Amino acid sequence: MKSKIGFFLAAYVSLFAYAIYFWVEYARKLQSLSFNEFTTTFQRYALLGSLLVFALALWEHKRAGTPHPISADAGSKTWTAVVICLLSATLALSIYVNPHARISAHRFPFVTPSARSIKLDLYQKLNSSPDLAVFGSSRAFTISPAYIQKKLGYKTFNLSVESGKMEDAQTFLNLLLASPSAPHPSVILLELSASDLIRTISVDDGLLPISLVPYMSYSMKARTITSTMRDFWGMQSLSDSVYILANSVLGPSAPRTWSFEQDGVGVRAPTDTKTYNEEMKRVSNYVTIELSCARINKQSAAFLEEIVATAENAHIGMVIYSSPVNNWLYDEAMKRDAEGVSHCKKVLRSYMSSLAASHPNVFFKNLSYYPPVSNMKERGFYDGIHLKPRASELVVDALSSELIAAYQWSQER
Amino acid sequence: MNELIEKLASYISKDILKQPSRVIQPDEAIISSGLIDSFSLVDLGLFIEDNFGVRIDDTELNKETFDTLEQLASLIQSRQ
Amino acid sequence: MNLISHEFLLLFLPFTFAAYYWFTKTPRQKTFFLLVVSYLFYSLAGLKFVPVLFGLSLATYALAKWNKFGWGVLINLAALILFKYWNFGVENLNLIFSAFGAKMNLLNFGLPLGLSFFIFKHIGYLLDVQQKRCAPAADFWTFAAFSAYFPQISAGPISGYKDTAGQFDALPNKLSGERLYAGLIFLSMGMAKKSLIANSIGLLLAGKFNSIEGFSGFFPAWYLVIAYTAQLYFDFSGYTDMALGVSMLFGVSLPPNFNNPYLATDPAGFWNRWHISLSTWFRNYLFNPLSRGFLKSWGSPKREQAQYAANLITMSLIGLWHGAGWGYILWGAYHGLLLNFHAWWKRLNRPLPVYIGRPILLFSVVLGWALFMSPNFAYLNHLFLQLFGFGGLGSLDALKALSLESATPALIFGLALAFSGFSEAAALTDESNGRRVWQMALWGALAILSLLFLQKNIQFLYVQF
Repeated sequence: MKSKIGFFLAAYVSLFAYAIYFWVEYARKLQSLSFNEFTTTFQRYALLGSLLVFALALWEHKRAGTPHPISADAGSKTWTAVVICLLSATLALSIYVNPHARISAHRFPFVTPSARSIKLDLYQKLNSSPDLAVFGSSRAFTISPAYIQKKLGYKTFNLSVESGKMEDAQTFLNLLLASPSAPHPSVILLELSASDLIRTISVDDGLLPISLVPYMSYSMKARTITSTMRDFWGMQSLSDSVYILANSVLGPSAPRTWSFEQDGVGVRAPTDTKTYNEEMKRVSNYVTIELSCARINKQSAAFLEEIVATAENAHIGMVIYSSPVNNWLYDEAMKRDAEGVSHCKKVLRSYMSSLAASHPNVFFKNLSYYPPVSNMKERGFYDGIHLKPRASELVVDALSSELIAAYQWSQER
Repeated sequence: MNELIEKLASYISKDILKQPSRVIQPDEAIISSGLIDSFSLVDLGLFIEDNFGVRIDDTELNKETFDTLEQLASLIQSRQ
Repeated sequence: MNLISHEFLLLFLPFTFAAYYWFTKTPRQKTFFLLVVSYLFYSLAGLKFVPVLFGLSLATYALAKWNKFGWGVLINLAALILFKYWNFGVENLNLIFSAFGAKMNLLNFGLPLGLSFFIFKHIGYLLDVQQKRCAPAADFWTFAAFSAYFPQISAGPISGYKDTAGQFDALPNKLSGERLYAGLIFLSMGMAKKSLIANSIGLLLAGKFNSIEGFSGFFPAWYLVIAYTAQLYFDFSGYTDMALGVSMLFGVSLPPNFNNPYLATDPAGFWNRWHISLSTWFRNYLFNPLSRGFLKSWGSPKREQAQYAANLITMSLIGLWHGAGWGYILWGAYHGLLLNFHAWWKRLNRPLPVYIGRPILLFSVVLGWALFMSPNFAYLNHLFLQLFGFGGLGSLDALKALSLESATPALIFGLALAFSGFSEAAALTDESNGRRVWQMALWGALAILSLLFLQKNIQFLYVQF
């Protein structure tokens, strides 16, 4: 019994001491907290609060004697009622504020980049279907539809999204094919990096809004529903919602890195050299993950083949390319693991050529180290991987012949 | 019954614990108190098998089956 | 599927629970329902290994029926070796025979979910039937339901056929109020232990502590091993509480796995409190027969040597059970040595007071976890050098950064809880004092708070074993 009392004393004292310690370290700066600091502080206090609830629950069991005992059934009903109330309250908040653009409501600004939600809105507002659609990650944000139209004459829409992966490509392709009003594009330009092909398709990757569930494969449906559930009933949504609500009262939120024009192209404010250097340091952490790989993941490969086959049946040409990386990043990777980098190139080349051999609609070009762009360094890159508009034009130039060939293949069907 | 308990008690104190002067009460917890460990239980099981012709199964050598000499003795008697 | 996930807690559990009590009436229907949802649960973790589970269940059932117990044990062990130990063995053999140019190939099947757990249930069943401790299963479907029973499939507790399947024959049509009440407390307590304590610590340990470069110095190293000590216990006992709670909701009681292990005062006591279902299995089916054999063939005068040998063999195999790696085997053998040292000390008849015995045991157990957690020798070497002060004390900045991690309050709370004697859900369902509304309101709130903290798909540590 003595040790039990010791526990409650230790638990309460440590929890309150910690709350004060955190307060001294973080929360006194409450007025000037950045978004990330706010999230960290909020979640720490949430954890302390939860541990306090934990201690209180145990304390309730310890207290001897009670004037008003209840039956087991009443206890279970109380539990269920509390659970349902709290589940509904958190769900209502997540839906009302919608901080991660899971549903298509724009009552408040999103805290996460949300190209998926924004670009889908833009795409659905188009009068006629484009000839060419760009799929991929934020590396393809600056691929300019206007430039492609000027150079090659194809009407283009850029549907690349942040952290865009093959799951997005598959869903978008299904969406384009399902659209009844207009004919679908003839060519898809897909930006793909080696890391997309070596990773396992995992449960955590569903970032697509739930309105796209009808266009997904079964496994993607399951993944999206799961990740949406995790998001709706998650501490991150809760803290982000509180941040948004607080900010909508306190003042406007910080400016977003990317904004998007009518044709989907991403626009980013000019960066100074200091920011550039900081960004470079940040991405250098995953430099070897980016450029070296052991082998192609079978699951990912099957996923890509499914997309390619769907496109082929719909007579859509596919130009697949790897986006150039900053020379600095490439040098760093070579320094750390030259063998890995060259092995990766070989693996990717042999896999893509076998894919192209079995699917006539596929045209591949590996531009991951493309000197005219890679050597531009700060002139061509915001950081290690994100291209400035001029660099993206050079990428389009380098892909012209593939784009034309894919377009012709499509027209011949 | 008492004779049985005495025999068991003396085997435990003399041969297992090697403390002949140790007195084990008939209602003293011998397993849950940690007085005799798992191996000594097997030893005790063999002693019972050899001396009383009663088999105590490997899965019965635990405090759920018996924890005191009284309980053990009545288990042995019930099987003799 | 993972017990501690939104999809299990918000979809799978409520729907199967409702369907179970709405649509099935007789114990027979209920058992069949449990079989179906167990296979659904298993296949949601991946379809690939469903045939392995089904095949081994069928083989075990049939071979027990035909009295071919040896073959049954052999097939189960063969599957265990093939999926879990083959590559480890081949790698070591290749190392030895590389001088002769011989080389065997590695297999890349992956590890079926819960393999070590259900195979041990199978072997226990075969031996029980052989020794006439329990009657063979009356029909395959009951046995298959026992073998795949979803609350315990991913990481135990390992239970006996008579005990668990015996309850299938008398599944109640209506859940008793007491059971439901206890089940909800077990579930909430398990979720809180896993999500608030184990995960908060785990998120930190999965980061920089994962590599040799990530930490150095005496204090950070001790922080690491103590944090791992707490994480492993709250992770696994949190899982077990959840498994027991979920099972109670379906009217089946599973055996307990923990009894405040860090309150033990000697190694033998620790193994009576830690992963009880596994140590019981090993005691029943390996240690006791082995000890009996040694005693019979070597005679009583050599009982000490017999005890030392039986302890070492059993504990090394318990280590190996956790996985194919020298770290696990070393950890097991180390615990064997601890048990032997304790047995030797006991013969000296110089009992230690609790306030000395417990710190010594805790120190030994924590060092054991250092062996257990090290992925390779380089890491182990680095960790031990730091633990014994050969890497300095650690920088003040590193310590301050550690103190500001969310893991730290979770760790302090966890340690206070682990030593309170109050950290098992089983201790909370004795309601001789009478129940209060606040109790259950707080447990309900705690369950939801724990759910909100599950941001990523985080598995239980013991699922990998």
